[in-house]
Amino acid sequence: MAPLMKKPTMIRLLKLIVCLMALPAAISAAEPNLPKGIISLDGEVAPALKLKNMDGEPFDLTDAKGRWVFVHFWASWCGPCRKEMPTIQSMANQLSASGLEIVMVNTAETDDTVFSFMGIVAPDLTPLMDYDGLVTETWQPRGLPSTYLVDPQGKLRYLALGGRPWDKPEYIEFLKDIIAK
Amino acid sequence: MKIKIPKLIFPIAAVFASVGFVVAAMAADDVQSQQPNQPAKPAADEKSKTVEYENAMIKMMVIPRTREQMKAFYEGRGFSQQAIATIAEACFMTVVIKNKTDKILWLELDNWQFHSGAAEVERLDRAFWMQRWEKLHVPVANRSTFGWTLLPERRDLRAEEGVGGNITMKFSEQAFNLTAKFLRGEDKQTSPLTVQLNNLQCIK
Repeated sequence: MAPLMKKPTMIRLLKLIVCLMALPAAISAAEPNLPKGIISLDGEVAPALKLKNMDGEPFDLTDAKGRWVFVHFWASWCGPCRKEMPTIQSMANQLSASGLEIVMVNTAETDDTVFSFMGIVAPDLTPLMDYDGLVTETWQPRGLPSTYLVDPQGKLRYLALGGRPWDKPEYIEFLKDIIAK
Repeated sequence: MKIKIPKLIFPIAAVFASVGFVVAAMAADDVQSQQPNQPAKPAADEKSKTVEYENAMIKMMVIPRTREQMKAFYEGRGFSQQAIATIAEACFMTVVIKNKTDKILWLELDNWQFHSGAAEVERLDRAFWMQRWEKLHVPVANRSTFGWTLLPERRDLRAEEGVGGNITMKFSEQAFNLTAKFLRGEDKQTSPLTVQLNNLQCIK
């Protein structure tokens, strides 16, 4: 009796099945679904970020290697920043155990201004103070507010265009997704 | 079917001109540009002098600011009296733009013309202000804040991206027009979009 399939054809079929089985894994390793207003960056090394908070405690981005870092530039006079800030506070609460480092950089304002603002709007977030605005300048954000996501190797991976509702499920899932990789 | 945009634009523009607002959108090869121009709100609010425009590709709003508004804003940010006096001499307008397309829209203020009749209205650019602040020894923090409140000189506005900020001109009692040309597409090769806003007025 003739075989149903010739041997080389069976091998090709088996290879195809193996490829199809590997496809979901390949897709999940690829780019996560990007929520609205999030764009991928090409992975340049993040600029230096060495600043102190209002208590004088220093922060250096290079010390955060090994973790994803949410780097956010803002000022209290900026309308979209004021709108976005509570969503960052809420996102931070939801992802507190995730290992995501949240770095809030205030651009060129005084301790008094920032203290009064944060105390009301986002009391659990501790901003870094870029008193003269020069660190912000080196990052060249597209405007205020701006958020970069820096990967565990210290590379710029994603940029949020303008203010985003960070506590909405699609943004939370996106953040969880990248942290998990 | 291809529609020659200028034939559509001119009668519509004439109607808008009668209420102080003209918009021309020219992008003959773009299907979206074939939509009639639709201003989002009444042409020009006599009280605020705000001028708005919206079509399928762009939303744009120009809001003239009073001297008192600008003085109060920068006083609140700790600017010196000398710096405030310089600010009060200029004409400030807040511009808000949203790219409604899926292509890059290039905001390049060098491609914007401010004119009153045949005369050009001088825009005070970032370099002008930086020179002023240098001369007045304005602190770096204040320069930074002022810079972030200005509309960027150049920006590749991504799909659905918005931008806002102030443009500044020499103060003039005379109304003037703005012809804002936006190149389009990553390589700037898509036919440009031109928005014309008439009867902009500095307010005291």
